[in-house]
Amino acid sequence: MSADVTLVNLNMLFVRYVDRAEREIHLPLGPLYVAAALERAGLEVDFRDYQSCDARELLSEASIGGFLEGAADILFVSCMANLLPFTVLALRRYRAANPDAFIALGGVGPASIERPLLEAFPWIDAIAVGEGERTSVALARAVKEARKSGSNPIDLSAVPGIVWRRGGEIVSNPRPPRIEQLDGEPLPAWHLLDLSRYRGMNMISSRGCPYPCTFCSVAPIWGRRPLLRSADSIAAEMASLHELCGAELFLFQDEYFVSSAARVKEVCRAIRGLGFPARWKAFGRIDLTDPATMQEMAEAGCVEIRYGVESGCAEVLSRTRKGFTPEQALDVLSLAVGIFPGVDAFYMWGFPFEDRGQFQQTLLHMIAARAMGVRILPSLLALLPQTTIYEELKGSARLEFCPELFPEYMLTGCEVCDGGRMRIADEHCEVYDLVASHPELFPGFFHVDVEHNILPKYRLLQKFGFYSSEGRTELLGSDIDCCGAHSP
Amino acid sequence: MRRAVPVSELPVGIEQLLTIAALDAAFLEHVAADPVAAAAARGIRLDEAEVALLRNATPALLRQMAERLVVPKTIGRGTFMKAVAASIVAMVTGKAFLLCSGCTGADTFESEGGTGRQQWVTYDGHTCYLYVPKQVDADASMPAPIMVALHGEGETCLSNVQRWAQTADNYGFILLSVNWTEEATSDAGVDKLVQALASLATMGLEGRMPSGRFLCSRGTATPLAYRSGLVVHPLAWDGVVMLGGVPDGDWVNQPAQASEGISDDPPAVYYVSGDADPDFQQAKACVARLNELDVVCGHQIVSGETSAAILEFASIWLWLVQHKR
Ligand code: B12
Ligand code: SF4
Repeated sequence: MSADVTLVNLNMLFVRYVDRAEREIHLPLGPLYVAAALERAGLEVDFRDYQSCDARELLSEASIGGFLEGAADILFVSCMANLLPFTVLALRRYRAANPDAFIALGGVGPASIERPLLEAFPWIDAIAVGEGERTSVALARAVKEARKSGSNPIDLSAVPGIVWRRGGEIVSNPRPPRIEQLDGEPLPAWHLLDLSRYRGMNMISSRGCPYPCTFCSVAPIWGRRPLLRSADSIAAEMASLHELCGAELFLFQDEYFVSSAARVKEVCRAIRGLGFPARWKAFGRIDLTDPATMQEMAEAGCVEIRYGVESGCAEVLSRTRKGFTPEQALDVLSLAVGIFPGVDAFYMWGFPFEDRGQFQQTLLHMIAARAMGVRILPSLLALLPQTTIYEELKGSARLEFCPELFPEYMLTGCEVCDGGRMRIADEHCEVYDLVASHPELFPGFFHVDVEHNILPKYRLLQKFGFYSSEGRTELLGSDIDCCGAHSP
Repeated sequence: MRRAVPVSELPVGIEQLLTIAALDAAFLEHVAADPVAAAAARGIRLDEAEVALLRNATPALLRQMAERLVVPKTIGRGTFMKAVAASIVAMVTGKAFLLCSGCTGADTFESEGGTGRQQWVTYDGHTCYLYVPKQVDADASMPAPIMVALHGEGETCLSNVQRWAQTADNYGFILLSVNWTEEATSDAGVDKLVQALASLATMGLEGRMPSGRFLCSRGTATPLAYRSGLVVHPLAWDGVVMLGGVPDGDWVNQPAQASEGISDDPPAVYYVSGDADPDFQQAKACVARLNELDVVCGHQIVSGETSAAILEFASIWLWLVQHKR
């Protein structure tokens, strides 16, 4: 019997340099949770992780076409904003070959632009909004039922949390309530993968972040409402991964791991109780990690903490509603360096309102933090559609497309990074043509005022070694397992 | 994904400025008041972009940045082989700017053993890293032996802590690792340093009298230790340890000249050489000469290079204590 649903993961890390491609295969948590929910509901899932596709030219329509061959007639796809244009084109081709398939998108990529996406790309049938466990099950069941009963068009009005087409009309269904008891959910469906191929053992201890940072695309996705798992269920998940594939290094990918000192203490207690020497990495927040909490984390095996520092300028931090000061950040980073073997700091630059002096303060902050031993991860502001900052700029600011200089959040893997310059091969031009013609759908690829806002700042960052430049290509802090939840 | 530039090309004036300010309170004030003038006073070259960044910063922020550079206790510091710190190391070996890389944490080892108090301190204008074992720290009125240590090229003050911390914990002595590379760039600088080493040893630390005074050098610091311990201030020391390196002079061909000035009453010397050290023949000749001159000298020859040898620091310490004058 063929599967009920094919679920495809296109969340992946893939960067191409002139001489090589860097890939790092991470557990695709979101899709794995969705798969687990589908299976629990008795649906058979054909899980396909594009991260494990061995095609040489990964981002070609032919490769993804081949990868999707033989998929079930309900196709669910998950992607981030960077691969959204590629995904859309791949699905067009898939639709042409499979006119009867039901195609739905989910994940963070399409978040908040579900309606315009459906308007622009008629080959997509529905887009899931937010948390996927309840929605995916209801959607798959409804489509399956409709197929069985031969009803056409399919009525999806009872499926919570989707935007879909009813005839020529696009309809938004109310979202299902958030899952309050995360412990009651099944663990990610690891058995659908060959775990031995995965390097990044991703986990989450919570869902959602309550802070209002205006450039952030993560918090809005969860409605800025955090829900936490219990310490014991987190430890149990680590134990299961250890048992299944010997994992000893875990990457907590949730942005609210350090929600409170008491909770961190609980989690650390549970981790210390594991029967093996677990090491792990987690995100911190400057104003939530006191020395005792940090010490607790380090003693429980936390080998790296990652902070979203974002700016070294008090006005910028205040305007983006970050909630702490540059001085606090310096204090905490310095303490953290003495406690953790690794400390990362994300800095965001390229805010349209950030003047030269404000940017210089950030640069100096980065230099001081680097001198302390912090690994600096700069990110060019990506105007992702979920962010408050984009909402504010939309309509008033002119968006400029500059494929030479995409924000790192938007790197797709089609670009070739060559000593600080970005090049795009002809075969990928279609993706970028699509992007260029749809700033309202893919604003993350665009900038505000490249000449005066972006380039001068970029050159300074290059000068101080935070980005490569022509003729200077030495790797520094080359770990690629990072993905800043605290940046857009 | 994150790429950057070869460190040698980076403007590092700001890091140098902050690092020195972190270690020198008077300089810190100068930096806070006028960072550009402070840099000029220390011969630190600032690029024009660096000048702009510094001029744009408030005194309070600069002060905080420098103060936060010194990390109180290192855990797994080895992972921070930082580009910038490495660039400072590179400069240590060159002439441009001399600063102990340890001050900025460029060391590549994990700080092992050693549960004592450790901190950067400044004595008489000299930057040092202090290690005080717990039991010694517990009673400030008790005299304790002190080991003044000079690291070798490419090492840092922390290297000495790695070397001696366990033994210091076991036998209860204070370790003071001196950042000497910055000062020993001229003959006058060396003289001043030699003077400083002796007064450090004789005056004691933190108001505590030393019950024994030992000097240890590694590699390139050995000429300095020899000069201080055997020539200029022999009475300041109860024992000298030389881990590799050779005192200045041609010991093979002109031993008499090389040993000129050696004191009549030198402390005992424990000398380690490796049979693959580039100056091994000189080292052997030096030991032969010291023996001729009746200097109490324990010579340990290790196979391979001294820098790669695993040494028994506890035995070295016991030898020193036994042969203490
Ligand atoms: C882990 C992670 C990664 C990992 C692993 C991805 C993977 N294989 O899953 C790696 C390291 C590969 C990665 C890479 C990148 N990432 Co990332 N990553 C994350 C992170 C930290 C956690 C993701 C996660 O596991 N969440 C937990 C799960 C449970 O949530 P979820 O994935 O959203 O899934 C739920 C719902 O979305 C939904 N759902 C998901 N898929 C589907 C599908 C269907 C059909 C349905 C119905 C529902 C559904 O249901 C799930 C369960 O409720 C998030 C931030 C965050 N905290 O979410 C950023 C995040 C997803 N990453 C982001 C980005 C931009 C990137 C990069 C593209 C850029 C970069 N520089 O980091 C790179 C790739 C670069 C490149 N050139 O290749 C952004 C995406 C923004 C956006 N709007 O698209 C995020 C949100 C971070 C941010 N700062 O904004 N990332
Ligand atoms: S940037 Fe970090 S702290 Fe701010 S809302 Fe996003 S996840 Fe939360």
